[in-house]
Amino acid sequence: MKNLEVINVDDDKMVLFIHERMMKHSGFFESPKSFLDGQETLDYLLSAKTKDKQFVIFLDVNMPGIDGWDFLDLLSEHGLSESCHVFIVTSSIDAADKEKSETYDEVAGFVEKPISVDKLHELKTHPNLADFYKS
Amino acid sequence: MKHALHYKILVVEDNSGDFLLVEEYINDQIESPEIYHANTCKEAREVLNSQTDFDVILLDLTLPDKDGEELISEIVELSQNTPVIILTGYCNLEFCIKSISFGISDYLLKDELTSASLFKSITYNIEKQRNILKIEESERRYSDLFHLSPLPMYVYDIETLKFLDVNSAMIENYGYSEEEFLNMDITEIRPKSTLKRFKKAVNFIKNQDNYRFKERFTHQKKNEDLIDVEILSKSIEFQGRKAKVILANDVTERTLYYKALQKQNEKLKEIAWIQSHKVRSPVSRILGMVDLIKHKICSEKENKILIDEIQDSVKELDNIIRDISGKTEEVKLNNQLKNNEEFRSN
Repeated sequence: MKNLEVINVDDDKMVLFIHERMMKHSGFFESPKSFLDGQETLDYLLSAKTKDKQFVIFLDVNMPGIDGWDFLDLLSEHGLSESCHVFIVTSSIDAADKEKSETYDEVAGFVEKPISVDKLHELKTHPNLADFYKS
Repeated sequence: MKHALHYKILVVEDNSGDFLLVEEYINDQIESPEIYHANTCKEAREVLNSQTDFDVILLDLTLPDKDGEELISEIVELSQNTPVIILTGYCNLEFCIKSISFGISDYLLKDELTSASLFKSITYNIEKQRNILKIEESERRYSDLFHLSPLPMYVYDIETLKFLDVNSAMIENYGYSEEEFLNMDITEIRPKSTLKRFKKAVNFIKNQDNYRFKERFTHQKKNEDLIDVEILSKSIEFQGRKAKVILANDVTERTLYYKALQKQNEKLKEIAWIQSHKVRSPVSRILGMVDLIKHKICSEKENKILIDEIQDSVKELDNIIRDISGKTEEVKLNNQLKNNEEFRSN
């Protein structure tokens, strides 16, 4: 999993803490990175991207400032779509949100808050991620 | 051949010879008629007061106690829609024609009387009277439909726009008396700002026999209150003039009710949004933290912090729920209606 990075984006610090711990504990990812807003995340992605690196991003849609949808637009503007697999993380799954997300190629799926250990195990077999977990 | 008609006939005639002749003529034509005889106006009055359902009254114009116009007006009044045929001994054509306008159905000259002409006049006038009553009845029914309608209705002249008739619901709803209405034209129940649109509408329906406006109009009552009305128009002829009969259904209450419902819907939507977004956020946080504790993922020290955090999240949740129940209180429809009433009186 050399070329994989997992990133959590949420304006709630407690959510970030829970997600980090869950990911470590479930063996989903040892050292996920956390960001409180879209701009910070984007800056990091631009500085960290290399030719082969893939990013799995757990993205909260309801954030002040740059919200999840703006962030998705920025990804493609900066040519990051190819290297990013985005999971939309929401506390309530709105039918309208789901519909909207289908217009974004970067969106790999939906995850309901809070992420559980079981859900993380399940994600390891997700078509976008399965390659990274082949042993 | 005699006709099997069961006519009940009153003959008012003081000359017994004339009476016998008339009686004979009637019997010639009609099988078993019921004939009553009165010699004077007084006797006729007694018979008509004690007996009803005469088919016809045959009346001599000169009686010992009354004659002429006075006699006619009394008998016509007592007749209660029974046709009255005058039998007159001399040719006073002018007076006989005049008597028609007093409510007399026909006149016959005694000198020219035959059983056939008497029979024809009796049957003809009985039938004519029946038809007149039928027409009067149907006119009255239409007039009742107009005047007793619970919905405001009015008739206006399409050229002068003057009110020609208004019903009692109209008088009640708009606050003008009938007399006031009949001296007004239909522009006067509208706020000045709407007159341009109103004149267009009036011109438009001039050539439409029947029309229901989809959009509403604003009318102004005497006390200057504005109301929303739905208008239905129909062309009629009224007292010989081209006119429109208008049904003006006051939908102000309905409009206000819809507005209140709309506001209520908005509030409920807002509550639903809070419910799904705001409430779920602390709930999911709590679930996550409980999960961490359950899986013994954190250190003792961290667990203590988590429990404090859970408490904070529960408090946050509590505040949100109080906020929702407060908002739900506001949504009560009655409050909205009251607000609208204030809005309307401004």
